[in-house]
Amino acid sequence: MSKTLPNHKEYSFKHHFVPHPHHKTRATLLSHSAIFTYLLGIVLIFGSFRLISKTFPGVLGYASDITTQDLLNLTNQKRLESGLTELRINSALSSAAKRKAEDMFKEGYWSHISPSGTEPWDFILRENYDYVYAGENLAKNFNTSKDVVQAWVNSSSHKENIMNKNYEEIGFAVVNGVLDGYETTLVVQMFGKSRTGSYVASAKDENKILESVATVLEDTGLVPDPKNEPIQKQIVIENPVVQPTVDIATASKAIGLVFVIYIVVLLLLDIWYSKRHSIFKLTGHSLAHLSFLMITLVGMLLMMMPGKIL
Amino acid sequence: MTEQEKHILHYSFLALGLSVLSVFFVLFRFDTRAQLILAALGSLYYVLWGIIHHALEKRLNRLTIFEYILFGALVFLLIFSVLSL
Repeated sequence: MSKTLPNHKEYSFKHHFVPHPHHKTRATLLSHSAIFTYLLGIVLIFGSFRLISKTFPGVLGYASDITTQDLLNLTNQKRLESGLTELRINSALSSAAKRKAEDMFKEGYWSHISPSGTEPWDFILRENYDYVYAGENLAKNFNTSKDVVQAWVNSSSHKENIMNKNYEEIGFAVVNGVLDGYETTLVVQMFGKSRTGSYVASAKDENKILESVATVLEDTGLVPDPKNEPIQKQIVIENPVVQPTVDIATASKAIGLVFVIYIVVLLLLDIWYSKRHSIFKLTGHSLAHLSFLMITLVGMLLMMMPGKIL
Repeated sequence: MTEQEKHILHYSFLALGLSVLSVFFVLFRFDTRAQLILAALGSLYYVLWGIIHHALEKRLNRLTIFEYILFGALVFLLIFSVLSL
């Protein structure tokens, strides 16, 4: 009796991970009830993320370090590589971009057109920028400027804006806030060609504008004067560095990835042990489940790429 | 056609379907909504493949159907949870 009990325990524990040769069933951790428990676990974990984000805004969020200087340099670098001219930074467009980002946080949306029907052009016109051509690119939850610009270039519709030869000027806003309960960094990129041409900033002005972004000027008198435009006083952009307590993007993807790997390992054990001990189970095919999960694993790795664009 | 050849044919259909969906998943990697639709289609395709495959093998029963539904739901819920955050 004293010998059989430890053996029995060992036998039971082992079959949490490998199939049972007599019962012809999968390992306990791959049983139907276990899979059902995993489903509930996923709902609970990700549901609690939503609950925490609503109860303690700012605890969960998307960490980022994006600067307008880098965004401008990288955008122009892509244009130069395609034989196009550099875009000049324009304060009115940057103000319009900032207003757009603030509106998205205020109204709780992430779209080119607001729920109340406000279009990107409305923000541009409100800054008295009389455009011939205009365009807008959006991005959120990226970690670096390079990732943002690369994502835009990888998308044909966004690339069309970046590579559009009709545009002469550009404006950026990198604004932090809470969107849908999550600490979020929104990037708005606005393109334009002024009808009057009076908004053209010189290279020297560009540096001033970008310096002003870094020092976060607080002047809110945003009515631009086309003749004598106080460029460096018109841009107010919050600190683009966001460090929430938990980076939700990394956390959620890491949890997903670890979980898929866990199931994959259990299935591999199931296939190996069944073959080794010639266990024929009256269940679905482990190889099929494994293939499906391996594809999912690739998808999860792909989703590790940060951010979204619009 | 031998049992092994049938098996290979069935698995080829699974691999082909999932590969096509994976290619679209990569193409739409910046479009969350499209990715969610593709994940749903992938899960549905997998469940249907499992049912048809086991029916053709004359090994279909309620528990097997339930197993494929569980795996399909597991993958979809996982992708949905990660993408919707």
